[in-house]
Amino acid sequence: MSSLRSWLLLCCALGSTLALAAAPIAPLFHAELLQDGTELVVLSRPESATASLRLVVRSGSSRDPSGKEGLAHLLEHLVFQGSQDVPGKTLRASIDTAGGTLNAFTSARSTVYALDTPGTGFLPLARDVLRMVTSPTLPGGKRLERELGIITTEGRYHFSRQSLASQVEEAMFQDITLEGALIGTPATRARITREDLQEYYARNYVTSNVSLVFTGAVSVEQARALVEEAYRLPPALPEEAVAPAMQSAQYPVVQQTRAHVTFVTLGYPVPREERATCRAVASLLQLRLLQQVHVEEPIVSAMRVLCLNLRGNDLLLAFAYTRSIEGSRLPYLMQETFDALAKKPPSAAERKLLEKRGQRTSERWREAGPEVADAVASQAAEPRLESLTDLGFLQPPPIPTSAQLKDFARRHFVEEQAVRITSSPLEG
Amino acid sequence: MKSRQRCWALLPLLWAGISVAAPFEVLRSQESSEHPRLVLAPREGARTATLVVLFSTGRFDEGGDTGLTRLSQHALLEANLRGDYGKLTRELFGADASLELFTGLRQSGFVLESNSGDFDRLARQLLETLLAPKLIPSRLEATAERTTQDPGLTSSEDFLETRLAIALSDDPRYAAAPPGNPSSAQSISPETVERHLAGAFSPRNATVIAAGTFDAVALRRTLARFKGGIPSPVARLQIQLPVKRQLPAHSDVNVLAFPVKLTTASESAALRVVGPMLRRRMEQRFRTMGVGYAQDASPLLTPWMDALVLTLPASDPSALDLGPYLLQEVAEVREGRVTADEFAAAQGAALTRLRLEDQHPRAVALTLAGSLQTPAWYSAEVEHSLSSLSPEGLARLVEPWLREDRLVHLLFSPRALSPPPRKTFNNAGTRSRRR
Repeated sequence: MSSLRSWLLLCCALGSTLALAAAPIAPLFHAELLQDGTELVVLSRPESATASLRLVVRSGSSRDPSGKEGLAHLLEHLVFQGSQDVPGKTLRASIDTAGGTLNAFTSARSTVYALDTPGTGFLPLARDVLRMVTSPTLPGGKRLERELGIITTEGRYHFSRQSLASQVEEAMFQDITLEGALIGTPATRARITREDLQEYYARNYVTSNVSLVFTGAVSVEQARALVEEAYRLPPALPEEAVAPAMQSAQYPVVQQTRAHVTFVTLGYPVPREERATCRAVASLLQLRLLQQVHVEEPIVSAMRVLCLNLRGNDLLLAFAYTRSIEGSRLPYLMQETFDALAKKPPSAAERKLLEKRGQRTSERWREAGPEVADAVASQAAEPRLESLTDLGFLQPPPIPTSAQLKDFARRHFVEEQAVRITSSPLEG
Repeated sequence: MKSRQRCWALLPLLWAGISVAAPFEVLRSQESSEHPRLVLAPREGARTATLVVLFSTGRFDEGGDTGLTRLSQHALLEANLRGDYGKLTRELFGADASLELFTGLRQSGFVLESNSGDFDRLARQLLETLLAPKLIPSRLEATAERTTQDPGLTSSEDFLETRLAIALSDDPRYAAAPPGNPSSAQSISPETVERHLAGAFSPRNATVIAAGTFDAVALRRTLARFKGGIPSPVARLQIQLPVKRQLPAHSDVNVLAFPVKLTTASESAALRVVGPMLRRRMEQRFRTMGVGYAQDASPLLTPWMDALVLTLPASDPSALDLGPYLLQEVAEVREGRVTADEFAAAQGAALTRLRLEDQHPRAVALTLAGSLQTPAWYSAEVEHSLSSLSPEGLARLVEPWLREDRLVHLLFSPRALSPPPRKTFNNAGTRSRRR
């Protein structure tokens, strides 16, 4: 099953390579499930100046034990202290000297370790990063205390505001202050012991819960050899598999809260198998909203329409922000744009713009730089049951016909399924 | 025979002119003193190109009309007979291109980034819109509305530049803040905007920077059509050093700025090395203390001053002032107490980053925009100087920069919010409260 999927992706990539034979950039897209259950994704572009590695663990702060919030994030910090054979400080210095960067990000659902370096020095550094992350020493005592101090500083300077993404998740899944839970509080962090950290690591850093993403100047063979040499997680037994962090949303989702400025999130769930159409529709909605609430009516300057996955739920969501006193009209104008989709098929000019944009975006991804590594890692972090990471976003989405568009809107843009989250000075 | 030889000798030169541009190549030109300055960094083979249209005007020049610069920038795009904002928006969307505005203290500009296949057309369209504007007053209200929607008008770098400027100059224009509320831009009259566009935003105050794969001939031809305006040069600030200030803030941040004057490639190379060196020392020192996170040491190049700036967002749990520890690290580097390994690491990092940066049109264009007053910052000679820099050479160059009598020390601290009653010693040596 997995090798068939791998072949399909490879054929898809070769198809695009042939179709774009004259283009200067045409990486090889490759995804496979290794024997131990780890997913390997490679977007190889040998002529790239850089290479990137993302080690994605599909567990984050949502799996912190109650009362010990901040554990997953603390663990991510401690992994950077290194392993028996790779001192973290030495590795960070080597990466810095090579002109690269090593970073990590913990979210509610995932922990991602990110390495970007010049292509020439990538392999030995990636090898050491793999070793470090998959066999860390996880110190206790003074070193643990020191890291807690650093996180206190981090919390003071970098976790002061709630993000829009967490607001949406909180509304959809009735969570309480996800953002605060991510880093925890001094009290919850103080309760975390070295044993807690080791236990979390053993439960969540398991092969079937990890994806390795390589992009840029690294070949599939080199990536496989690196994994063979340096990836140290033992193969997971079936009973050790981490249950995917999926959660069904109860639709409709309607939330109105009071805030200094207006944020509107509007959208609908869309089945996973219709992701390509979702991307084309999102692009068309963005074009129309841009025209309506930015050019024709100067209400909004920051606005995006995206197809994304939240805890296993595929959604098409439009996000807009405004400080305008006209902001109260924004939800209605956005809804109008969604509603008009079925009645107003894309014009020839719109179709041309969408096709070109799709092509240009795809060309950007084909550069296989750190940006695409992040995008693939974000897809790989999605909770999943069996399938591999969806790399469909690397291809330009086919523009739906008028009939397809009408059908899509009729089936999915229904009131009972709506997600409508509004913060505004007039609410509450 | 002789002339044939001459022809053969000329061939490589001709070839060099029409084929692949050399790494770090920067071509500077100006049709006349009334025309915009042109800075080109052609990088054949790059997938993208970036255009920066830079004006030597910023919040400093607003004369009390807070938000005038930003509003004028929006007006150039949105209330201008020379351009169709709707069309530009659609074309940018179709090309998956971006157009950003930045509004600084003493310069402001537009950054266009696109696939090289769309770049020449979009660049021409943008330049024709920006360099000969004709204001449509009736659209100014909607433009002001859009201006007030801009989510964030200051970057952390801009914030730092402004705080340093306020600390170093009594001129109130350096304290000009970004528009704080929507009404500030909305109260500016069309006449004021028109006057500002004709003066500060005129072609002779513009610099056009292009990097990546683009048609240089076409760009030159487009630019030659625009000229005029009254010059508004930016003078370098004369600074009295040292300076120490304590400023109110919610959390402790130590900022050490060492003003530098970069006139040679060697000096630029030294500044590129000393930044990573100090950054690594800060990480090691303050991580070891368990207080450091996101420390930085990097150059801040502005139209009015260049400096090496160290920022340490950290506070010790026991309220220990971390400034002296930071100064200890600076002193060691100033005195050349640097190991060979440490030097090699910082030099290697700086060199690799410079070479990588040169392959990214956006990074090159923004670097050139940021160092307009300091051309020595980016050139092939810098790469050479960086490769050949020795520890002794570094010590010689940085010693005069890093002296404590040349330091600007800003300490942002909650303790500055509500100062405790000051205590002094009376003649008898006992403490007394100052009334």
